[in-house]
Amino acid sequence: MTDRQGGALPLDGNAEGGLLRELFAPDVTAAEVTCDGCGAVAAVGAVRVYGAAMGAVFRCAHCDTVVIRLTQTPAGLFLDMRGARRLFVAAPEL
Amino acid sequence: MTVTEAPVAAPARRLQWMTATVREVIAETPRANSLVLEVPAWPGHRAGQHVDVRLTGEDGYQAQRSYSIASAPESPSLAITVERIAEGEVSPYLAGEARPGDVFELRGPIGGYFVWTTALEGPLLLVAGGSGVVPLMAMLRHRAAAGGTAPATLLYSSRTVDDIIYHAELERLGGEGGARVVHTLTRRQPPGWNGFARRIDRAMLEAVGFPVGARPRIFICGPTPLVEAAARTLRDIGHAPNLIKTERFGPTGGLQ
Amino acid sequence: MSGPPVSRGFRGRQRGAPSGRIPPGQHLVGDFPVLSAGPTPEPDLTAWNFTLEDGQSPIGQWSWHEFEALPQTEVTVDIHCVTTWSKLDTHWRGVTVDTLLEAAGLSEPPGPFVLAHSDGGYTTNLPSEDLLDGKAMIATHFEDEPLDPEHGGSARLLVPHLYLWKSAKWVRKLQFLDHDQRGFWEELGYHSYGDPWREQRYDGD
Repeated sequence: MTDRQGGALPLDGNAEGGLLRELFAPDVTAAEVTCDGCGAVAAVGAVRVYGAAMGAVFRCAHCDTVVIRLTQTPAGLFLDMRGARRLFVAAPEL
Repeated sequence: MTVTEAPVAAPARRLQWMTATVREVIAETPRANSLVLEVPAWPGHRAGQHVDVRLTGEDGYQAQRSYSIASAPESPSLAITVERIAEGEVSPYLAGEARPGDVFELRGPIGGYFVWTTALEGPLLLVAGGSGVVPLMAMLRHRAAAGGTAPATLLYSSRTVDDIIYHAELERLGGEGGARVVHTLTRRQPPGWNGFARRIDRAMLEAVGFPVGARPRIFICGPTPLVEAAARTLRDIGHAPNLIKTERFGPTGGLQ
Repeated sequence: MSGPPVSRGFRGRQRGAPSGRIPPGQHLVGDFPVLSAGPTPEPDLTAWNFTLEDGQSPIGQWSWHEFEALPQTEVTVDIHCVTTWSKLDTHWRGVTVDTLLEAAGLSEPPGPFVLAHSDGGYTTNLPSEDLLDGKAMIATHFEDEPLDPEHGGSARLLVPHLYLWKSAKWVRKLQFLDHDQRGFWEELGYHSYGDPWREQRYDGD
């Protein structure tokens, strides 16, 4: 299945696991993120991610709010979490 | 590499790029190869996790993609399975050019969400589309190696019988009273085929899956449309959303 | 210090030296890859409108019907995506920004910078100058067909002399500003201008 068959299909937070490990010591794909738009809670690994080769745009499955934005540039890594109210990493993952 | 009990919690450590050497290439299907790798100081992994692979050309050009680990944590060797995507940049190299002795960089294991160990109780329902079977196979291999006894079912959608990865091994796993494997072939079926011959739908999931009351742990992996449809259907059937875990496969806007 | 191990036989994509129409670091594609920051919106021409804003004040707005009644322009241009693919001789039809400003009764843009706004919250910034003199349009047709939603239909901004992320899909508004306001990707490290011929992919390039 390619992205030429009609719309850029999202992946999910699992695909960003490696990049997130460059920022966070524990693996955050199992962490729970609370959407600031609607309060929905989801595991980071389950969140739909758009943006493909440009960067990672995590969007809430309920209200489409961008909860996390992540890019990797020659200058470094950018993380924007203004759409996330809270991130919870359970003790066993720390 | 030492063989250890897969820990429940992965220790937090910085991911480093490591050098992987190809030890063996296994042709799984006309389009998919497994690569058995030697990775010095590989820290171990849990079934469902993946690695990032980075290739460097002679001119310094680099390309990076992610691949699920196919081997069980108990296995003495690390293995990945790569399906070649037409016009991809990395997969034609890994599942076409790479041969024993070749090297590339690898980091991992990655992923704390889409993981399963036999320590997690309850029946196991695995739903795979195409190469999405890879992390689920690691789970079944782990279950077999660890002597897991809870019931496990794999529903595996492929285009044709020639596209079924791990076909023979899946038949052996099924035969031992271990995991039950149900195939559906969506594009073409061999003569005499009396299995499913259509896309995964509610009727199929109800027929193959466990009852809601059994509270199975569910893992779905494959192309985004299949994963989202199956997850939605399983929630509609009544399975608790927190028991359903998903991993979407697809091109990262380059093409794999 | 040694570099990363080289993988024997790995060549990666064909990346030709910059020649003629292919900017540095780009490769030619025959298809039209789709890349989005969010789900494809459902087109709704009855609800669609396009707005020009001076700061917070609307200075022009058109319904779909009114928009299609404006003078249309057709162009054939090359397009270049920052993810390294380039596509040549693409054919578009739409309304140039010059035409929109004229229709709004303006002889020049009300501010030196623009922030383009799209359905779904995407934004991108440009100097107003780069939208003038036929350099940019609001495109509604691609290859003589209505623009597909996956490629930005009902209408997208088209600014082909810059990397394609500046050609905002599903565009609904051009907001003129007196300062350069970084957009969706520019806030996360992408270049504020984005000239493919100077390989301005990231801020600082």
